[in-house]
Amino acid sequence: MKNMESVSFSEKLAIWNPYPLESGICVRFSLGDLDVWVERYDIEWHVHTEYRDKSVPMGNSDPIFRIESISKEQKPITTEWKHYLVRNAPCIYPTPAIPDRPLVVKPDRLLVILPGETAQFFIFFPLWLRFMVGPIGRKVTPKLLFEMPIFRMKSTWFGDPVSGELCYATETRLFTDFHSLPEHPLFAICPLRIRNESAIELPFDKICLHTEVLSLYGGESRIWTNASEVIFKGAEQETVVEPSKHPPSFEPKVRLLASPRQVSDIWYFKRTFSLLKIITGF
Amino acid sequence: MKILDWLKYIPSEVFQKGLNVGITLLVGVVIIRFLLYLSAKTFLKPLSEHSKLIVRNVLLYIASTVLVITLLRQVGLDVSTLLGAAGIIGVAIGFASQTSVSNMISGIFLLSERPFEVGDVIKVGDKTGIVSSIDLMSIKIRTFDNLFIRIPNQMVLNTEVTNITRFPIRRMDISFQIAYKEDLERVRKLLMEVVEVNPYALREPEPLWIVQGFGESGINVLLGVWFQKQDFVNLKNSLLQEIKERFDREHIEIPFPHRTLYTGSVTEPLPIRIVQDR
Repeated sequence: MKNMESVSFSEKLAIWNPYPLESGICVRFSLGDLDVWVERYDIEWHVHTEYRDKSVPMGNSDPIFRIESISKEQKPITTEWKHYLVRNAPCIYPTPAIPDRPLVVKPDRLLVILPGETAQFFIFFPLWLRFMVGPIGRKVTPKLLFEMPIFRMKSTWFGDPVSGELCYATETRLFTDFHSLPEHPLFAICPLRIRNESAIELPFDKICLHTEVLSLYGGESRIWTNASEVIFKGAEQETVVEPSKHPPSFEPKVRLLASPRQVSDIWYFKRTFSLLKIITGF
Repeated sequence: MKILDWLKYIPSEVFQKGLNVGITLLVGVVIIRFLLYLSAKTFLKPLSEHSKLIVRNVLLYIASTVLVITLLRQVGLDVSTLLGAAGIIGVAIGFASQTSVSNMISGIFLLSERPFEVGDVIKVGDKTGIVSSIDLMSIKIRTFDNLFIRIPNQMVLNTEVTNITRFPIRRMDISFQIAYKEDLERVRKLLMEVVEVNPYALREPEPLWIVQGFGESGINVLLGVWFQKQDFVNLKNSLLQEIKERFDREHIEIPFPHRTLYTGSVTEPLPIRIVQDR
């Protein structure tokens, strides 16, 4: 296991590099809470996934990442191995992905944005693993075998029990300073600017972030999503959430890692803030 | 040959009418089936199963009525006279078939009120199952042990109906007892930890914790956990097992009623042998 502090970010990012696998060899990918055992026999891929230590609350395990060859004796003996048939695909393409549901982000402290104020936040959230295989050199688009969260994610409900929506819950430190942001290859950072254009105070105790409309970008020191701007105009009016069409500008060089799950220029979201929940009496 | 000989005795006019009616019936049925197929592939496609069923039935009834009227006119019957007669006959039939009419009217109410849709899990009286169809006379449900139940619409309208899957999330209430010696706050914290780790329990709405009262054997408590409607069985099995395991690990006692045997004054007391622990 590598020590997180002793390696550079580009080395950490190597976890997302293509990994050619010879026939008959078994390897284990360990990412966050997740272990993935992979074995290839010519055109047949055998895959088994498992989350480590079920008693640990979700997302609280050590943020580890490693790839190691394992012997046949070390392979888990279980009937839950899945077999996939893919021709001409001797290479693994592990790719970071955005969660498949919105995230309810709860900052560790309550912040109040006064009328007329604008605040810049950075939301730090865990990524998913998209496990793809394909030919060496990306001559053909790799084929997706499966995708799943790297850290166990707790389901939660945002809004009222009749018309709310299913989300993942994340508790995060709300970063306001770019330089204090951690460098981690298994987490992404969403720059979020909140503008309070209403005449009332906006308590930022919880926000529902629709990550499925965001892209992923790899920078030199962090993984980013495109920036989003939330304009709060009052409890009775629709809150406008607008994801930027451009890559984040917090690092000079970023490259696209994953396109958004859903394409959307703008969305009007009435229940972005929990304040609306309180006002409407849900 | 014999059939052809027999046909000679049928007047040509009657034969012609019969042939026309036969052809019209055949073509009509084909057209109706084609219309239903076309509607299913086009404008019915985006609708819910419930709406599809209603529109399909309405189309079928209208098209069948038109076909029947066309056939009657071909036979030579005056439809207006027939409709007049139908009024009188209708009154007679109405008296004779009050239950059926009542079911049909109840069916119309059910379709317009929409207390449930096809695919919902409902409980009518003591019967629980998935709604497989809502028709004019009755609804059909399939129970979880794969039984087919037909419930007349009138009964559905007069009985309390619970739609179990109407809303996307539900709360599972688990009532149990804790021994008087236990620290209630510690028990509450442990249960919240169990809920937090369970993959089927939702973090929000927050789990409900109520100390309901002092029972005969222990303190009655209620734990209410929110979950997605489709996770009922998974949550119930996993959560109860995890609570039991956690209580065993933490030596928290779930009390149960004890029974003391009294042999009465006539007989001798029960002999007791004390076995010493080694």
